[in-house]
Amino acid sequence: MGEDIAIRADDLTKVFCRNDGLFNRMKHREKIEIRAVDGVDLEIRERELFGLLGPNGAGKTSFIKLLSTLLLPDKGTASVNGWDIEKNSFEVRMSIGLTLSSERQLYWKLSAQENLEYFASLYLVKSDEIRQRVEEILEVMGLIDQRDMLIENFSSGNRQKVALCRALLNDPPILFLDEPTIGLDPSFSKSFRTIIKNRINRKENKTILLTTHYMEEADQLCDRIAFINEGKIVALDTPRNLKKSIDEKEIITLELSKITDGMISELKKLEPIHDVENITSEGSNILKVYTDSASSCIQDVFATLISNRSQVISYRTSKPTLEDVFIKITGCGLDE
Amino acid sequence: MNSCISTSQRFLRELHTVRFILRKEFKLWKRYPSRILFIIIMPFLSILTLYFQGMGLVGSTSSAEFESFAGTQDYLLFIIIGSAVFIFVSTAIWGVGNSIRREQMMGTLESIWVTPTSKLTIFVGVALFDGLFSSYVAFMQLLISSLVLPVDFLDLRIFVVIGIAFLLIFSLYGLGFFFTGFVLIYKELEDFTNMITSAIKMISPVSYPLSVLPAPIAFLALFIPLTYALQAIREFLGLGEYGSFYQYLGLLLLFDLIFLVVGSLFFRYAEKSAKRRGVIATH
Repeated sequence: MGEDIAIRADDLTKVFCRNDGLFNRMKHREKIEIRAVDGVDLEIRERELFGLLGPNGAGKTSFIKLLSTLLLPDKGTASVNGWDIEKNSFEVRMSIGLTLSSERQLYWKLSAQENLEYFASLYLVKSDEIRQRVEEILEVMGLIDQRDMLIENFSSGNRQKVALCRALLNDPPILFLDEPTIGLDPSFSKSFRTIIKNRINRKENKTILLTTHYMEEADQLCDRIAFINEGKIVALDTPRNLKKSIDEKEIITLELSKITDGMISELKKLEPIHDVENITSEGSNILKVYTDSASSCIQDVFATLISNRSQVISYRTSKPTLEDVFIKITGCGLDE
Repeated sequence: MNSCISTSQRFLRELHTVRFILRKEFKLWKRYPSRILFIIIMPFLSILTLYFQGMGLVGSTSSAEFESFAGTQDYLLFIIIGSAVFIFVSTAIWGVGNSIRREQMMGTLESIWVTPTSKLTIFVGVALFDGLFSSYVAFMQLLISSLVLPVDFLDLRIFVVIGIAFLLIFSLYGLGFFFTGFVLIYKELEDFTNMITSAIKMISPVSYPLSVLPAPIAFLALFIPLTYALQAIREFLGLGEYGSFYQYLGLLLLFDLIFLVVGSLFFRYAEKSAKRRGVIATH
């Protein structure tokens, strides 16, 4: 193992059978296999804040569950903090803290302090240090005044904060945060991200593997990002390099009354347009035009649309974002 | 990096974890006031039902007719002992499995499963809480019987009865591990639970002696450790002639060993299977 590698995956693969179970097997003769994680090779460095970005069902959570020993791989290996996830599952669990995207990962009928004291004992924190450790963490997260409140009376954001407190109880070197800001309002998400980046990653030097399908979150927080789609890592680099990988300097996003293949072919022939993509979803006809200069080609674009009898409902020009990179690589958006 | 704790440190800390599990189970239990009312009233209801049932059937708490089957006229004491011991059967067999099912339904199971505490420690904690709860209900049943009904049970013999129940409980937890494995893979087992519990109650001599059962069903009772525990207790209390007291204790120990080993091995298999299929936390 390399000196500063916190997490390593080699050809890690997880396949689920949709028709598992006796009755399903009797009904469908052939197994329907879903490759949730498909031959992933990955190295995450110590103290790195690493993002796994992909749409729902891309395999992000399955990957984290494999590394957390909640799932067993069908092929390949992985190590966390130097420990093999299959052979040394106890040591792996001693080395990690985990928050899941589910809101119901705490006991709602217990207070924050009661929850954390119970979980501290499960994380094998010394019994005479549990109370002090719990109070320290609640203080850092700004929850000390609400420590006796039942979890059922907390807001979603504060519940997520308590879950983060729980992940820190045994002071693990590695944290897995699965969709940590899902369902939180924007201002709360922002403060939550600040805690993750400034406090946990920079000040406490913890390695963080974070999954998200919010591109801004990954862009703001992560040192490096891997795009995952259909279980495969399809790109991996720093956010800046990923954005640079798109040659185009500008993108024109158009919402149209209709889109035809002929119209796309005509647009692709225009100068200086590099590519045109149809990303129609949920009843909206959306076209993305990748170009060196939006201002120099916008008139020609509109003329082509008019000649094809397509009405422009709205349009905007923008610089490439991580989502554009993702679309360019996978051909689908993060919300799909 | 790579640092971990020694085996002895781990053992000591897991012992403390059992205390925290008991505390958490108690706190969750007391947050629902109806449960407190339930445990105060429940022992009265079950004992008085048995009493009135006896009075209705034979017009008394003892019966000469009953003696021809059971070897004792004391119908009420016979059935109270069966009832008190049976309380441990259902909680020991289903307590851990039901607790795992509750965690699945609440959404907390994965959060527990990902911690370094061994599953055995978690089971011991839950089983202890259930065991204390069952002991309270059984003790209250015997106390109420002694105080309110024409049954004399408050003497030193109760410690031997507790000792036999203690021997029984290990084999029941072996069965409990087995069924917990089922819960992990197949989830909702409430109907199955009820069916197995009723079957055990019907086959083993809880409410009547084995001699009233048809031979093939009575034969099945030989594979249920509860049979030997009840025979041993009734033999010791002189409620009929059931064979060698010490032989029953030996058989109970043998069942403890077999059921604990088989139950633990099956649970390990089931956990691995659930992790392969990704169904630990699914409903």
